[in-house]
Amino acid sequence: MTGEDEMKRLDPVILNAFADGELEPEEAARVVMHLADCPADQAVVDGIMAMNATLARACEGPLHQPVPPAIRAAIFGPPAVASSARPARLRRLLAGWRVMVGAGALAAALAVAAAILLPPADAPMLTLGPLEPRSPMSEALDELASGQTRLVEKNTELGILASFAVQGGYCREFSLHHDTRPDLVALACNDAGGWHVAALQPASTPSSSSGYAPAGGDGDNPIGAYLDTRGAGLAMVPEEEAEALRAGWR
Amino acid sequence: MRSEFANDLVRLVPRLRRFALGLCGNSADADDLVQAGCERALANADAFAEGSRLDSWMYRIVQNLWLDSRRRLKVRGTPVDPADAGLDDSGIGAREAEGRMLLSQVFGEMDRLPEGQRVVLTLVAVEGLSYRKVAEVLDIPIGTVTSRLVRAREALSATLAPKGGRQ
Repeated sequence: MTGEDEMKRLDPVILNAFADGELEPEEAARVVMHLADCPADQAVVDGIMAMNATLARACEGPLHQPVPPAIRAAIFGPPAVASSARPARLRRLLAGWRVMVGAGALAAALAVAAAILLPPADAPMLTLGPLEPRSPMSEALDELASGQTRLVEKNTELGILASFAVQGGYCREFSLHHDTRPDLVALACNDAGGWHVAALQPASTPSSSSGYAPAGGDGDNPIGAYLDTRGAGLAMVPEEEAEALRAGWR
Repeated sequence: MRSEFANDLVRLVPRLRRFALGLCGNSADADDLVQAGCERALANADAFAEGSRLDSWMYRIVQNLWLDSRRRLKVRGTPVDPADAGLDDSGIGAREAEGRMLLSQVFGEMDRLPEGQRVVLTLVAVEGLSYRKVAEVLDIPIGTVTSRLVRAREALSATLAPKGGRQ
């Protein structure tokens, strides 16, 4: 590098600010003019931008991943822990459920679920049956990945817990949190061209120490019971779920 | 309302995890840090001033916890598994071995930076915060932000300059 080149070099603070888009337009224009004649400073700016891109790329993973269950549990506290921390546990526990459930248990489970979702004094947050296509809830089921949440009604937040490939389609387990009503966990499946709610249970179902109860009779596990009848395997891993999301659950 | 605060907080988690990953260099420590940060925020939710920026407050909490842990444990640089850093998923991360080595090297070199420089560099280069916002989050003058940033980049460029690149 020659002495003449040295004379032309800009203060590194200016070059950094330029690379970070911190300069006012007039000053940025002056730097652009300078860089055209100063390959050394141009290389510095290129290097800063490349470093920014490398660092951003290295750390962008969390933006594309669901909120880890442990962090959700830390935020929402014990009642929500049972539902929101579920996907990982579910994978372990479902294996136990698979062999225990039959059609009789399913009928009992659905009956219990029907009772659960009709609280005496109030309209239920959700009922069994088809969801309105393009309703906020249907769209949330179409679009959200496990761990993500969205307000689907005033004061009602839907959070996706897990997704399952089943015979003839997919099912998605989700929680509904309302400011004043008991939380619900539900299962919706899309085999009829749209989502329909196939099972429901309260989020506060008496549970094992894991926070989720693979009960013997399955009357209190309508979701597990229904999944069994549909031949569901373990909960989909994020890559499988991402693929299903891209394909529109078809 | 606490549940509203919790909802706002959970929406911030992806960005907090990204920031923490920039500080820690691996996702396991980053997630522990974010979880501890959320717990601290909830425990002190009453202290959060209505109308102020939750993200700024959380960046500060996460940064302080990270500094505490560094001071307590004198953590040495941990080797980074690019898969652990989320770099091997669906085309988002570096696929080629060369790219992975570079990213691993980046985290390794980042770990050698003084803590103040690493925090500033992460907030600017990873989080995309303006210098003014960084100064606000860290409660330091803008001049300190720029000087830390320049020194951090100079230190990194000395070891991470691409072959055949600048200088």
